[in-house]
Amino acid sequence: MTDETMRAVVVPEEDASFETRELPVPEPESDEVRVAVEACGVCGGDDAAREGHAYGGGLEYPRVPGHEVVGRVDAVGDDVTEWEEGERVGVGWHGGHCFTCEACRRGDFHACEHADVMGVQRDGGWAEYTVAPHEAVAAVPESFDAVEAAPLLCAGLTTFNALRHSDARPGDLVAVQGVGGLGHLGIQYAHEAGFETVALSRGTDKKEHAHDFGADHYVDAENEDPAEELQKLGGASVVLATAPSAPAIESVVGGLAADGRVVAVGVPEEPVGVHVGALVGTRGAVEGWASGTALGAEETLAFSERRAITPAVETFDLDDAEAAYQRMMDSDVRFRAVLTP
Amino acid sequence: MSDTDTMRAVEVPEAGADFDVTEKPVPEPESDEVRVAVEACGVCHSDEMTKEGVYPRIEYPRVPGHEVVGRVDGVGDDVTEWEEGERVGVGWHGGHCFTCDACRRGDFINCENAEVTGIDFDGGYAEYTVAPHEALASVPDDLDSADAAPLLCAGITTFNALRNSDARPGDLVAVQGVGGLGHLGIQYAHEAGFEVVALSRGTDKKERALELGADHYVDTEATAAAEELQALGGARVVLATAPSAPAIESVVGGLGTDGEVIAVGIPGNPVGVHAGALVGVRGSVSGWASGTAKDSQDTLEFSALRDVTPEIETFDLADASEAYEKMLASEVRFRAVLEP
Repeated sequence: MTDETMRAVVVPEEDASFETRELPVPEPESDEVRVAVEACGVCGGDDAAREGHAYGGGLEYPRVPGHEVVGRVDAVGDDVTEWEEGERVGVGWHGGHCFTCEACRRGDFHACEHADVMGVQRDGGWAEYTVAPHEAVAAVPESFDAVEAAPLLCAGLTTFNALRHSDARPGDLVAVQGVGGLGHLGIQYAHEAGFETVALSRGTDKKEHAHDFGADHYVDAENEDPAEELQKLGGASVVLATAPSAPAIESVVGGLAADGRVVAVGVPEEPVGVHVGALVGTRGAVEGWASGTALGAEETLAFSERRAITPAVETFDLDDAEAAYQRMMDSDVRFRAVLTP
Repeated sequence: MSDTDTMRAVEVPEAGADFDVTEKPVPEPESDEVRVAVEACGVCHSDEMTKEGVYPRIEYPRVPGHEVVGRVDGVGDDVTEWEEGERVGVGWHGGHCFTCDACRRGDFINCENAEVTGIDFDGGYAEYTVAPHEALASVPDDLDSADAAPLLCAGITTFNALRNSDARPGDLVAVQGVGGLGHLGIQYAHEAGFEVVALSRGTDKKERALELGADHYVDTEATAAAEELQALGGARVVLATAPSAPAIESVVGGLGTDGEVIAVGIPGNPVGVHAGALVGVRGSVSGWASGTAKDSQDTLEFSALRDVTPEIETFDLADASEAYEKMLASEVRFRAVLEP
């Protein structure tokens, strides 16, 4: 396939708009797998490729974004033993690890010192083909629609993993802040995990959707004080904060119950101002959670399949990546944009 | 109520004796106690402790019953948190002292002076019972009394064991035994997002187990439970509700990494555990005992939120013997409840 080309969306340089280009189809290295992409989600995290400076800079351009990839194995490197051509696979944010650093030797692959991020440190899935290290590849059951599986590789994994690794137990009050790409999945996972689920969002547009996704309560954060409303419900064990907004995160800290946690998975650019008194009083915490490994993605897919959890998606052609991205950034998508090549 | 008021009650006259349906004075609450007009009381395997005198220190005659639901009918002078007419429940944990080391740590279930309903004081096989104020749980309006009663012991025990385990949504959790406890355990495990395996002998209960929320059913008469669990990836938790040592022994080999067999049914004989099977997976065999009134209330609220109800057969108080014998013979589908 050496001389063949493919359609791909690139960030030509930092802060530039997306462009569709013809690029050579990438060849997998000996430990890599090439995936013929069937669908790739559009995530808030894609701004890391576009606005690399906000993430420490040093990115190489042009760069193909995209870390919610689903497709079929198209070629495997010589040293790859666990994947075969034709298998349905996905790749998420975590784009591989070194197996040799301290974190990897502890089995904490996500904290690998040399971890690459798909679509940021290496080319991602907004293309007809992408390559990924073998350890970053997750099996995707054939029963899934590629378009519905794609958002589960980041939005799904992140919310499912954050919730299942929290201390919240069945019957506990769990709030999901933001009813968007991550939040609409977080509500479904929270419901299926047996939590008494509160959806927090601005206005009432998404109220009915939130209840359909499984929320037991809805709080209109524009007209009600979320902290007060959460306290009326007994206080939250967990608030899963998906909206990348510091004021939004600040507004829920007062809604925690004893030992409660605000788990931020949306990352605001500005610092979040936390009143320590509110945390000391409840032994509470504000903490962060970042996606997970390929095995976590497989577990997310398995759970989603077992419990019939699917994202609500809008699909776009690769050529319309710019429009999909802008709609996502403006929170206009219901609820996840997915590109198909 | 005057001294002359009497009530129907079922007593164990002495250890090993048959139940006796009798008339006795309606009990008066002490200053820190609450009297409950009983609407329903479940029949639990642990009532055997009262009936046969297995439990030490029982004074006879004794009224059994620790799955009590009814309405507050009288409150002692020092009771501030309960009012007449409120619907409440009382479970196994019949109160604590608030002053021993465990209580001062907030670990009320391990109170050195903890009392057990129907063992240390008269329980719910009667028209009225009294219990210490701290042993009462509020019962949500959505639940029928007869449905709520089994949740006070069978429900809280399985719900509390599962929610305090390390199992997380998506993990493989097996419930061994599809009876009074198990049929609730399956529902709670399903509602908690676990991949649920029901283990039982034969196929009589297979369909029901799947309806209750089991994803898999293993007939432990026809296949080896441990092998089947390993074929499914290995269990994070096996909730062992059947009070049978061989049954518990048969699942230890089915644990996955860091897996745990949690026994809530108590066999009379010791369970033989191969330490090698535990070392290999960092596994454990552990026990769990019900919970406090607050845990009961959490159980009741969760059950109301997720429509988890027991499947019950109701009996008149006078038929306590029949209900008890059916329960012992595992013939009840799935929990016997007495109504006064």
